[in-house]
Amino acid sequence: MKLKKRAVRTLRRFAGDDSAIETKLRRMRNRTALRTSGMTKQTTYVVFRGDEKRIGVFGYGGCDTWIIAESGPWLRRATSATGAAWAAGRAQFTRSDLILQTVDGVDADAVAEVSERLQLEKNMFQPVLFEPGFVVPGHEQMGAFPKNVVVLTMSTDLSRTLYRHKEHGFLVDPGGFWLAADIKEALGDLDTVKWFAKNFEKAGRLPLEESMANFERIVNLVRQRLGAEVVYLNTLTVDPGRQVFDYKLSHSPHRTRRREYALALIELSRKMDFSIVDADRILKGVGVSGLGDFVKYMPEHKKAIAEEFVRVLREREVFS
Amino acid sequence: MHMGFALYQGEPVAILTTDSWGMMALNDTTSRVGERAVTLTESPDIGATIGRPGLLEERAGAAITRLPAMRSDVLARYVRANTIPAGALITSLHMELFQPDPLEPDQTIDNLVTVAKLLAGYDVTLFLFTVSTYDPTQRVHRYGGAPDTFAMRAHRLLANLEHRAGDAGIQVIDVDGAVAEVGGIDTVPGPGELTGAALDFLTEEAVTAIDQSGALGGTLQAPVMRLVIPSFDRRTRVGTVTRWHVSPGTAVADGDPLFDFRFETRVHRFDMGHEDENTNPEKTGGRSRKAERVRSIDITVVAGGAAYLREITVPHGAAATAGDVAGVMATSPEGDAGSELAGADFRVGTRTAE
Repeated sequence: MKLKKRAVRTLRRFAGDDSAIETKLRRMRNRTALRTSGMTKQTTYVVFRGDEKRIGVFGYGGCDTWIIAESGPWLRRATSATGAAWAAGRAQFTRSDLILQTVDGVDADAVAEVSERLQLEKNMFQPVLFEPGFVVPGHEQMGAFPKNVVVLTMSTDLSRTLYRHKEHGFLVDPGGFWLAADIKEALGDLDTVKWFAKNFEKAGRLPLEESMANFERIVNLVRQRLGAEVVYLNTLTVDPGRQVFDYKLSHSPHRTRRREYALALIELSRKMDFSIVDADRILKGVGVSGLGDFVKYMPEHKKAIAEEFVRVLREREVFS
Repeated sequence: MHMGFALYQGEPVAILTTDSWGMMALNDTTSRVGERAVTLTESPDIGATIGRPGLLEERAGAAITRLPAMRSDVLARYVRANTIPAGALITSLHMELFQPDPLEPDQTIDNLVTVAKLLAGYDVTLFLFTVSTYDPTQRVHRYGGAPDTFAMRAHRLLANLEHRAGDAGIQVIDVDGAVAEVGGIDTVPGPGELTGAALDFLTEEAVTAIDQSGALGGTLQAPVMRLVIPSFDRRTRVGTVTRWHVSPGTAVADGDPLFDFRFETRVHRFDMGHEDENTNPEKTGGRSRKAERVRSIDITVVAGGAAYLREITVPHGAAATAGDVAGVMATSPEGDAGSELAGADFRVGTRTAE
């Protein structure tokens, strides 16, 4: 392992991060692993070989959806098919109103200019979720997988703050650019900061009712367009490591918001009959000591949630 | 007034079930007005933690009034009808979930807010044990047509409480958060039931809450405490004390480093989380084909409050396991030491060693 890390560091010193040669080497390694062991797994996806039948699990949300990559061993036991599970989303383009904006359409010219200036992910304005299939990056030779299961999460609606274009009305999440960058980088690009302040206004966080209405619409669209099984992940409803007795001094509206979202999602599940993987319950069972965030899980958490996820799929008879 | 019994972990627990409240105070000693005292309702969670026989009597130096477990509406009537001695009243949400005909969550919290306001008139602070939402018996993922689960009812109560506890001045012992910290798999045998580490954790949570509030005008901290080596995670438990930052007799403040500890754990490549990996559990019988390696993790254990280090029991360089007693802490610099005298575990935190 040490040798491998040293080799990667040496390569990056000469070729830089994410160089073409590193990508090529990674792909070679993944293909070799797939050929020899029948399965290859990375942080956001897992691909495994089976018979001619194909099954695909598509995750679209924040980093909590990465648990589907951990589900590979259990998925393989549950099905003889060739399969892939890919968490394709990122927190900055999967808030429910951003997802719906890709369906409702935006001014392409205005979006192009903003995308370039803010270095936005192109997926922010593409209806990626509603496309019929997906190809796992680096495994193009496996072809496209169907979206039999779509995994969504409420974590991005809970946490992301969006901005609305004053003239054209579309939403953006510039997080990951200078909002999340080092302050020196932000100050070094003050023109963009001023331009952003002039053209955008804060849209803030989504109210719970609006989120649930969006979730309902998204579930309907996924079912209509893809015929896929929809599974939602909820999130942890306590603040790990936080010891507060007097809520007057240190109230946690985020924790309460997460709890209320979890309850509202159950009511929506009752209405629409989708399944919820109760990440909150699983995390509390395993123990959250040492967890830095309510969605950034440790390996033992990911494995426990992934196992529960596959149990849910079995009970939904996804593999039959 | 009627007494009733509810079963808790197979044992009968006395509860008050009526709202036709008289002016009689149950099991009350003489009037304590003018003194600092603790009044508690003996629901199972309180009875097994801060209300453990002897604990408050030893530590509080204040009068203890023990009342049967009661629901918030009954408690509100009791507080209206009786004088509560100045100090602390400790109650729980437990009965709200386990008595028949439960109240609506907003009714419960209304009652508790009323109680807190009435108590404020007596110079009494209300401490409330919440409930854990973790239920090992229910793994629901499909809710259509299903009745409300225990977890849902608990979440509704907690959401209501979180909105109103601050303004009402209710001090909250966060059982849901505490169970989440230690892990419900090992500590929650059934809904609302707690064992082992969770009970110990909650006892000290309650002690800290009462101490921080100043409700008793003194400290409930045990005079002698065990300094226990904390665990890093479930698999990482064995290691070595690499440095002591303080020597016996030294005073420490909240956040001061106490000792460094190096955990050593064997890690299978399969278990390495963020590392790239390629495994086939079917071919390997569930085991990784990759060799395991030893991973070292250095932490600094820091004090969770002010105290004196009385004694070091695991010296520098000695091997130890999480849960071992590394030393003895005390509230005064002198006196008898010895972990056998310790009445509680000293609260510690951890941070990555520098």
